[in-house]
Amino acid sequence: MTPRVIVEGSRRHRAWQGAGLLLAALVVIALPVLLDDFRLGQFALVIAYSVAVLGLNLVSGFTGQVSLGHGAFFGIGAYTTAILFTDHGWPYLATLPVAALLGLVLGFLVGMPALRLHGLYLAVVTLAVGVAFPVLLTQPIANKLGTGGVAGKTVFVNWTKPAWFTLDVSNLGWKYLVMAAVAALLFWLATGVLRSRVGRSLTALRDNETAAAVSGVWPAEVKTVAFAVSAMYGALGGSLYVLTTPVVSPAGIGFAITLLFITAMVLGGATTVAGAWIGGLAMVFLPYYTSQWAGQVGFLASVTDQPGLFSNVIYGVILIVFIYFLPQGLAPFFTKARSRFVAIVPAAAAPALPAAAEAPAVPASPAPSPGPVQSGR
Amino acid sequence: MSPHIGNVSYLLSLLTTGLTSGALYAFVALAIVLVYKTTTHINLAQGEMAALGAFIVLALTRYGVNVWLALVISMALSFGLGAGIERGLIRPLERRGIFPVVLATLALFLVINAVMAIIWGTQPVPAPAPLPNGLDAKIDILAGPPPFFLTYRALGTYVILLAVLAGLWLLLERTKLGLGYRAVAANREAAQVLGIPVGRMQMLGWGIAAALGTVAAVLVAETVNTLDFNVMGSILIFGLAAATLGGFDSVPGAAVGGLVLGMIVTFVPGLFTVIEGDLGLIIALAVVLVVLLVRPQGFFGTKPLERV
Repeated sequence: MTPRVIVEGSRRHRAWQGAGLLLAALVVIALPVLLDDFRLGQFALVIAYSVAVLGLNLVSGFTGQVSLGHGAFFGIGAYTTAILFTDHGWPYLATLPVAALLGLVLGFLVGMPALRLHGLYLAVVTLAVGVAFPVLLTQPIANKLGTGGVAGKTVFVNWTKPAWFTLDVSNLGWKYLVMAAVAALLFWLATGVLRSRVGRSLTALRDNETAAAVSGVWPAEVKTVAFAVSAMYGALGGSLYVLTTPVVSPAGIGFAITLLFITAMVLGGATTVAGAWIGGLAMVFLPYYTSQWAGQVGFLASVTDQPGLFSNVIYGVILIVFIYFLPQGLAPFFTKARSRFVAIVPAAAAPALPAAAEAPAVPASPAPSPGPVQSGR
Repeated sequence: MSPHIGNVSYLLSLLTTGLTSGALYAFVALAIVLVYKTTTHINLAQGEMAALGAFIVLALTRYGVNVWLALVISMALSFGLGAGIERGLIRPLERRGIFPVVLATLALFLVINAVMAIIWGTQPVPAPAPLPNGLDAKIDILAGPPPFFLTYRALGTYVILLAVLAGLWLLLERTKLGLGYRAVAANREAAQVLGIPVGRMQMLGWGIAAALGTVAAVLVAETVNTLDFNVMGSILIFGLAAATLGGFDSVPGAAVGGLVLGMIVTFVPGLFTVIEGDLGLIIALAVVLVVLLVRPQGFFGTKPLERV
């Protein structure tokens, strides 16, 4: 069967894209009407985790930098929102920009060593930050800010569905829809950024730093910015998390959740935006069904009283299997499946690119092609 | 400042405490360095592999095996496991760069950690104790207050560290095997051209590292008296910090780095009481950051040259 050919950016392509987005939106809106609150709570978690995983994709998948401290970024967002909301009476939504800003700053600070350090050293720094951050939260000085020490911070966002919203959803359903709206905005922003000059610089740096630098990408700037933005997404994921989860504790934002973020990233596809959704789904439903399954299978249940542990084994195995056999993750797998039916080809390879890129290309000199990156500075 | 700042006995106690934890960090740092030298990778599952070794010691002693014999058996098993993981799991990923290997060691971390918890439970259990560990197992030196004494456990830790260092020196500097290992560490391609089995040297590094890690985990568990599946969780960070301090490719650097880090982590809270709580990890983080920004190759490491 020959696939249908659709030209990228054509009216037909746009129509299909629009239809797809509409369908996705309908599914997202239908969930709170159809599901009970328990399921809905799970999907709310999926949203929070997906945003955080997207942040990890930005820095690790698209920029190729090892980041092992994502839990700390998730934590700074969760704690910021929890403290401002609970102790200082801020409206929930007003805490999000603050959390985003703090995430940006922390990510920038962690990314600073990246200016001098490659690969493994960066892994060591981010790992140390990720492990030290929860300890920092239990320090007396942090306690004065209201972190709640080892026990963590309780936060209960008591929202009722506004009267003007006529769809038949629960209060949790309303929260879920707000989260979905914020997440949709963040995903849309990430897609835009990745298509822009910045996004192409990130990928160019990952693929060949020297070539990228020669082509006018300033590695230091781009890498630090990538770290900062990644951390901002992590922090916003944390802020969304506390909307439906009543407590955030140092144990919950440590290396354990960082490992899950990393597994989710690899599973979904580190170099995709859509992969973050798959990763988020896996983070919520994989442990849930694994625990259920392990609790029922007689042999497994007899070995341990904590069937949840089996999900970690499965995470590890998934990680290995994907690194070996599906390093691109699941998202490109779906794209490939689709391309058997519909082939999307780029617009005619005309010498002058249409105004698809925001910044117009500067073909100042007839120099040989600078590769995939347009010169930045 | 601490009120005991002029108290000799107090300062000596801090010194021995620092040296003891430093020795433990040094073991982990040595393991990390031995892997790094030939493969230029860091095994983030080093701590979990070590804890697994300690659990094997525990399991063997439960069957009535002498604890020292159990330690030797477990070290041999760990050696095999480490070498096998290098060959089977890590080597095929090597050509694909740093990230896949980091991910693979993280996967190992997840699996080993969970498997330990499944088999031996999540509750801490009494640790196997190869060194004398009673309340009276000490030599009193100064009456104090506070009294200054040396526990046999601390002394034993120092002796084991010295023995390990001597053994490593003999192996690396005085045997043909060690020569091959050093050749691979110095220049992998040149070593390969000379007919040195590069792969086997990498397996050797992983194997020795895993065996050393087992010693470290047993000593760490004995120090805190209990063994649980997260026993090496934070020690890995200290080991990484120590290796950073000494330089990732320097064996003596790892030992010195571990001891110095142990001192810093003990003396800073010990002298400045304005700082409260368990600050070890934060101090380790600070050490990592300062070293990497001031002297990224560490104090004993060689500066990597990069040709574009």
